[in-house]
Amino acid sequence: MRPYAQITPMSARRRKTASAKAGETSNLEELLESFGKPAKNRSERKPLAVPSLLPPKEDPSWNIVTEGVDPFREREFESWFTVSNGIVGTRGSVEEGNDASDPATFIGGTYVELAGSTNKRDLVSGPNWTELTPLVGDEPVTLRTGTILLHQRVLDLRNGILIRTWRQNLPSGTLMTYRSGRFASMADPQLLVLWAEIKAGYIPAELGESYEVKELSEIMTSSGAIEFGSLTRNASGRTVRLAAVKRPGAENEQSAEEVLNQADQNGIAKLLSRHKAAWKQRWQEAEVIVEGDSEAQRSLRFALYHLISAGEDSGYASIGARGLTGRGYHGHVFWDTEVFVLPFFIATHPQTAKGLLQYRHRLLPAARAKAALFGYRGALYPWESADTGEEVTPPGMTTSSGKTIQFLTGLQEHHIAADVSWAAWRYWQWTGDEEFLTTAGAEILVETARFWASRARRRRDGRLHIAKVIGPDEYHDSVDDNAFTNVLARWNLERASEAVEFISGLDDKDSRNCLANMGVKQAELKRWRRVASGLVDGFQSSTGLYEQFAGYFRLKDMVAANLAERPFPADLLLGSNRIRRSQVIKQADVLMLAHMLPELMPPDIIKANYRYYEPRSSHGSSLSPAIHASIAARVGALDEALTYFRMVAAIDLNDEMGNAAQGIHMAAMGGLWQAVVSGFGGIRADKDALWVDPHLPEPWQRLAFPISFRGHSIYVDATRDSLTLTLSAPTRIAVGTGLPATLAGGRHTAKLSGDGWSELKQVVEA
Amino acid sequence: MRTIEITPPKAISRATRMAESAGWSLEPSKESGAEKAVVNTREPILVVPAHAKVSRKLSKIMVVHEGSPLVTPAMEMADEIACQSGADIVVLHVLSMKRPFTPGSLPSPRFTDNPGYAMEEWRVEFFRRFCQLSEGLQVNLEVTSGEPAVAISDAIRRIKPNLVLVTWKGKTEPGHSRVLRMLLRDSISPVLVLREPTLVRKPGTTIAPPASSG
Repeated sequence: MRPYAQITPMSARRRKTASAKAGETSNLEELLESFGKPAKNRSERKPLAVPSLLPPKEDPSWNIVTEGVDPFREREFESWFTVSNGIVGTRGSVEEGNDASDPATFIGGTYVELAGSTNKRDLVSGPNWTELTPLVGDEPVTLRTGTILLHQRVLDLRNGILIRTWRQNLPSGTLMTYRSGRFASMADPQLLVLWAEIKAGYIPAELGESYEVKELSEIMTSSGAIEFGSLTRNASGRTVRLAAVKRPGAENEQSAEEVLNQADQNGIAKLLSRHKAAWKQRWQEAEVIVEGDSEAQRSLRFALYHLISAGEDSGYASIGARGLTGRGYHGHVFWDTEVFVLPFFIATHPQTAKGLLQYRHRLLPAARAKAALFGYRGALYPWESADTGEEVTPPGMTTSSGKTIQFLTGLQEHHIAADVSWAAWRYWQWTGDEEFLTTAGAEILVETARFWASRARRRRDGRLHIAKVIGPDEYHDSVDDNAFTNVLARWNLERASEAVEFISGLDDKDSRNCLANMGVKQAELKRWRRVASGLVDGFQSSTGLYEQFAGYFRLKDMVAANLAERPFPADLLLGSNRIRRSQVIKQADVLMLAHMLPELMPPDIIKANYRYYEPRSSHGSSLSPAIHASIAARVGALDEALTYFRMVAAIDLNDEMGNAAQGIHMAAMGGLWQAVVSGFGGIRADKDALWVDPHLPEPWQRLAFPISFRGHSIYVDATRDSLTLTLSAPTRIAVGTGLPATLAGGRHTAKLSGDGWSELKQVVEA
Repeated sequence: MRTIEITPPKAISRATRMAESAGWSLEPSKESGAEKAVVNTREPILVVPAHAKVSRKLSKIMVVHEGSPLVTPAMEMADEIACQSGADIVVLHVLSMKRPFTPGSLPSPRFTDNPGYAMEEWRVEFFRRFCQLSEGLQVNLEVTSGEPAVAISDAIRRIKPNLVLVTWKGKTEPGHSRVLRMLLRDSISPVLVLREPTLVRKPGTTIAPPASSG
C-alpha cells in the first residue's frame, strides 16, 4: 500500500476573494502582471514582459518532447518531465489528471514512517498543487473528451520549464486550446509556479472556479510538520498558481506564507526571470558540449538537467536514488550519491557537494550507533539512509510466489563507510575547503577509519582480513577480502591519518577544536597505519590482476558476454545460486577501484583488469555501464567506451530497466557525466595537480566542459587532436603523461601527435 | 453468452460446463487439427490439447503476457471470464532481453540494481499498464525466465491453471509461433487463443490497441 502523509489544512488562513469579471483581464500578460501589485494600481500599470508559452526551438537537443498520449508510458514521461530544485520536485503529470497518471510532489529530506512495512521510511509526497479542472461551458474536459488534435509536452532543459500545448475537438465541435507552463524555482527554491490558459471559441472556458484562493496546510512527517501553501488566481480562462513549502526544522527556510507573499509581490515575470537566470548560471557551471553526436548531446543535457534539479546546498537532505522524480527506492539515499552523483557537484557547484556531505556529517551519530550495534568502533553508514541516518534497508521481502528473500546489503555492504569518506576527501582535494575539512570532513574520515581499524581481523597468516562482506558486485554475498572493500578501507585509514596530520599543522582555533573533538592520539594513528599496511588486497603481481574476493578465481569461469546480449540481469535469468558459483559479476567491482582511485593503479594494471573483468560483467546494475565507459576510454577502447556511454544514456530515455515510471536513476545521470569528464575527458586530480588527458571517440568532433578546481574555473575544450584550457587563475596542470606544471591564468593549447600530447603553450591574447 | 469455436470438436462435451462458467457456448470448429483451426479463424478459439485436463469450474486462469499492449484482448477476455466464473487470474511473463518494438511495451528489466526494489517497481508498472481489471478480481503476476516455450510449459505444470489465454500474431512461418505450437501440443490445460490486434497510432491520438474482437 502506498503510504501517505497526513495533510491538515491550517484553518482560518484560507481566504477567497471575489471572482474576476469576465473580460476584466484581457490577456495572460495582464493576469500575470497583476501578481504582486496592489489592486488599486492595476489599471495604471503597463504590460510587462511575460513568459512565452511557445517551446524554445533554436536547438532541439535542449528539449525533451513527447507528442500525443500514451497511457502505457505516461508515468515514464512524468518522471522525465519532473521540475525540481532539490527542495521540492513535481512530476510532469497533466494538470487535469487521468487514469494513467501518477502525480506527485516530493519534498526533499522529509519522510513518513511506514507502519507495518519492511521499509521504515518513505519520502513525503505533498498535495497535488498542479491540479486544474478545465471547463468548457460547464463541462469538464479531459484528454478523453472528443478528439485530440495536438498534445505536446516540452521540457525546456535550458530554462527548467515544462510547457504543455493541447488542442482538442470537443464533441460539440468546439475547438479547445489549452496551454500551461510550470517550474520549480531555481532562484527561490521553496517556490513552485504554474500558469495556464484555456480557450474554446465563443464558449466560456475556465480553469476551475473564478476566484482567488490562498491555502495553507501542514503535512505531518516523522520529523515534524511541513508547511505547504498555494495561492491561485483565476480569470477569464487563465490561471496562475504559486506554491511554497517549508520543511520541518529547516531554520534557513522562510515560512510558506512568507514565500508566497514575497513571490506575489515580485510578480510572475520577475520570478520567471530570476529562475531563468539561475538556470543560466548553473548551465554555465556545468554544460558539457559534444559536437558530432546529437543524441549524446541530448542525453547529456537530460542527465545534467536532472542532476542540477536534484541537488540543494543546505545540508538538510541528500539525493535519493531517484532524486525527487519518483517513488522508487522510497527516496532512500545509497552510495549512488557519494560515488556517482557527488563528483558532478564537486566539479560544477561545490556548495551542493558540501551540503550533501554535511548531511552525512550530521548523521554521524546514527552511523556510530550502527557500528556499535555490529560490535565495531567508529562509524558505519547505513546502506540505505533517510532522515535520521538509521539503517532503513528492508530486511527482506516475500515474493508473490511466497518465497522469502533476505536482503543482506544492510548487513554486509560495508564499503559505504569508505565511499562517504572518498567523497569527503575528493571534495577537499578538488576545493581545498579547509573549513569543511576541519568542521566535517576530518570527522567523517576519522570515524570511518576507526570502523575499518576495528573491522579488520588478523589471521594466522599474519595479515589483516575483512570477512563476510558484499562488494559492489552483489551477486556474490558473504565474501571475504573483497578487493574493492579492502583497498578502499586501507585508503580510508591512510587518508584519515593524512587529514589529522594536516590539521595538526594548521594551528588555529578551529583546527585545535577539531582535533580535540576527534580525540585522535598518536597511538591510534600508528594503529591505523599498521592495519592499512597489513590488509590483504588480492593483487597478484604475476598477472597484474586483483582477485575480486578470496576464492573468486576458483569459481566457474563463465563469461557473461557469451551468455546473453548485455546488459542482462544474470541472477534473474540464470538463477542466483548458479551465478553465485560463477565468475559472472553484476557490475564493476575491481574496476570500480580503478575508477575511484586511479592513482593506485598504473595504466597497464587498469588495462589488464579491464580485459579480465569486462567480459565477466553482465551489467545487471545500472551503475555498471558508466564505470565501464570511463575505464574503457582511459585504456583507449573508445568504441567500447561509446557503446557503454549509450547504454547508460538509454537507461531512462529508453526505459531499459522498465521502471523509469518510478523515477529517474540519478546514479546513471551522474555516471554519464563521469564517463564523459573522467573517461573521455581524462580528468583526474591528486594533491599536486589536475590531470587532463582527452580521448574523443568517433564520431565526436569536440568535447568541452567547465570544471571548478580549488576555487578557480577551468574550461576544457578538446578536439581529436587539440586541447585548449582556459584558466581563471594560475593552476597546476598535467596533460597526458606529462609532468605537472603551474600554468598562468588565461588560454593554453596543446596538440596531439603520435608521441602524445605536446606541452601546453599559453596563447597570447591580442 | 458468446459462442466460441472449440477444437477438437469431440472435446465439446467435456468442456461445456467450463465454457458455461466462463459465459460461453461452444461450437465445434469446422477444421480438423488444432493448428489448422487456429490459423483459419480470427475469432477466439478454444483448443483442448490431447493431454489437457478439463475442469468443470474455472478457479484459476492464466494469461501469457509478453509485456505488450497487444495482449490487451487476452486481458480483457480474462477479466470477463473471471468476473463470470469467479476465477483468479495469473499473469505469466517470461523475461526477455529482446527489445520490444510495440509502442507501450514494458521491457523486461535489463538491470536490477536491487532485486527487491527493482522487481517490485517493475511489477507495479506492469500492473498499471496491463492489469487494470475489474475490481475485486484476484490477479497475480508470475515472472519466470528461460526459453519461452519451455518456461511457459513449466509454469503451466507448476501453477495448474484451468485455462490458458494466449494471443497470437498469426505468423505461421517456420521459426515463429513456437509457444503457440507447444501449447496446442503439450499444454495440460485448455488454451484459448486470441489474435493480436493491429496497433493503431495516429499523431495526436491515444496510442492503444483497438477494441478486441470477439
